[in-house]
Amino acid sequence: MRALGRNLAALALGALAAAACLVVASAAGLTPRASPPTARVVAEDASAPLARVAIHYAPAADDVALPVWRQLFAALPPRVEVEVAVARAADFARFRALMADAGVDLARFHAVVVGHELTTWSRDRFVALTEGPGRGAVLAPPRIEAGAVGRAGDMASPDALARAVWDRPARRAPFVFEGGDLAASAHTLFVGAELLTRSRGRGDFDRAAIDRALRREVAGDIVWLGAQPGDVPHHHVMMYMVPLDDHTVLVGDPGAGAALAAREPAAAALPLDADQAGHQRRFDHVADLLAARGLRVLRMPVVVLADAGSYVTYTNALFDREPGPRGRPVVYLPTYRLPALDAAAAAQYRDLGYLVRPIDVSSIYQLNGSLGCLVNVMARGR
Amino acid sequence: MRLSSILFASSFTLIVATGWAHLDAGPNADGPAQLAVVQELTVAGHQVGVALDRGRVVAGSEVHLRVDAVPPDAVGRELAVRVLAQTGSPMSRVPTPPREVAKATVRLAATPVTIPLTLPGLGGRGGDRLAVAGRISQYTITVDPAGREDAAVALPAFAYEPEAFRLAIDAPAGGRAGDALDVTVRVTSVADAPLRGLTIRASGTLFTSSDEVRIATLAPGATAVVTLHGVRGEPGAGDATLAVYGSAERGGTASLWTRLDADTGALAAIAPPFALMPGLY
Repeated sequence: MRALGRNLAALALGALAAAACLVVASAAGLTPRASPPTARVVAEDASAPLARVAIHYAPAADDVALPVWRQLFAALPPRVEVEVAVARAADFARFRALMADAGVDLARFHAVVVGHELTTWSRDRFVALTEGPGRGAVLAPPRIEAGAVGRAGDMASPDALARAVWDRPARRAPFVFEGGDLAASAHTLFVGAELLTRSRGRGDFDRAAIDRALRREVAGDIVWLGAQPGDVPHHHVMMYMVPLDDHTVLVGDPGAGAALAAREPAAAALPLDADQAGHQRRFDHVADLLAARGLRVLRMPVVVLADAGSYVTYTNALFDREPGPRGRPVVYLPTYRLPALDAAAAAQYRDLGYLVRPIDVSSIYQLNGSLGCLVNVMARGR
Repeated sequence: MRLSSILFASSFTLIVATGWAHLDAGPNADGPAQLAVVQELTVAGHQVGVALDRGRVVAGSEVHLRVDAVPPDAVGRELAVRVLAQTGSPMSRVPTPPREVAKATVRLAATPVTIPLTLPGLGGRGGDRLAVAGRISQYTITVDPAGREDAAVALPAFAYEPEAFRLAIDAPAGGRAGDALDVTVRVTSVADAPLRGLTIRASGTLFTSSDEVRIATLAPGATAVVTLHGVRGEPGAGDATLAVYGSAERGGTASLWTRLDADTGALAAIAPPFALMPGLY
């Protein structure tokens, strides 16, 4: 009997000692591995139907953004829920009234009151993450100085949207980024080298450090577009390329764009940037880099305008898929009232099997963004 | 005794092995809420502070870069200063790619060194101020031990093109949430040439409206008074807000950010142009 008691005590003591060791190891950070990330950046491609998108509605931008909202929400299927980030509830009331006037169904719109002035560019303030069906998160950068009231207010929108949609605050990356620096297919994240400029002067955030930090946040393959910022176009990723799926990418071609623009009377007044050779080199570098990784690279006309902030770009689109196993891919294609260019881009997408829904962005694109910059895809369905 | 030792070792090993496999660092830690600019660089083993005297100026004005005093063994060493410019508007998605617009050399000394740096803005784009009114130039001033850009600090500054027209409001009438409310806006040209195609809107916790008023032309120095129709909102606790926006086909953009007494409509605060008033928005 005494032996049994001694043996049971030995077992218990062993367990207790083990538990104590694990507690001490955990407290001291002596752990075997960090949590492997399970989240992925929500895909930009047409791999799955759109389920939920976020926009910023800013009355100050009505002149330029409202024409786009009217077209987009008339074209977008009712299944797509829309989170409308606004500075204040009154702005949402205004947005609803304007959409009602345009004959748009209002049921899909959900107000997210941020409490700060906003710009109309929702895509750049965060990236949306998916953690499996019905689960997701928002990854936002730390705050930095801003030049305008709206831009400063934008930095509050990721938290507001994360709480509204996922009932928890946004995760905060250790480095500065803009949402447009990242674009994903279902299994691959493409990172523009321009991201390396964002944290400049704010600590030791070289490419290796940012890459490590990204890999702690998101699962899947990560492909850097360029080793240095000057290697690739000085812009957000989808202004110059977009993944169509895990194997195929579209990359802009300034030469093809300039050739089409030369034949397009409506483009006669467009001021092209002087450094066309430099742009061609940077776009070609992106294409070469992706081809070297075994991806199928297709080229799409793009026109880089003076100062290289505004592009006539057809890669900065919104992608959707019809529900169901036979659902066809859909592209909401930005168009620019440049018929020769618009038609060429639409034809290329049609040849690839896409249903093309044109959205005229001529009112806004000279503010250095396009359709994909106005809409942040928060979730896709199956 | 021997069996007890075996049992102790077995339970200890089993639980540690099992627990270790499940033990990890937990969820990834969040980054900082804000990421401040580093304002020190290392020269000859010494930390040298660098700072700008201000970060927001009217285009064409100067900022001053101050470099702290250094010990004798670092005196005479040089720092390279570059001014990189990017332009945009308050509504732009991103500024244009950076281009170098100025550079200078600072020689370290036993006393602090200050140099002026002009932030030219858009320079009127050939003298046409109306084409750029309200736009923003974003500057990054990099400072590095000459030839070592990898060790640079990067200080941000913003230069604002003056607005071509100013907006002001009359204090709105008192009332209750849901009442009809008119907001009177005074639009005054401060340009020296006619403005064309101005659109005026307003929005705020005090004022729900999809109304907008268009002013075909506004002569230099002239004031137009417009009325926007809407509904009184429900501001909740504290002051109400009201923002007025103007955009012109020719004349750029202008805005007015105000805080009002929710009951009386009296103006409590007006943000100076281009200032980011803490607590206001």
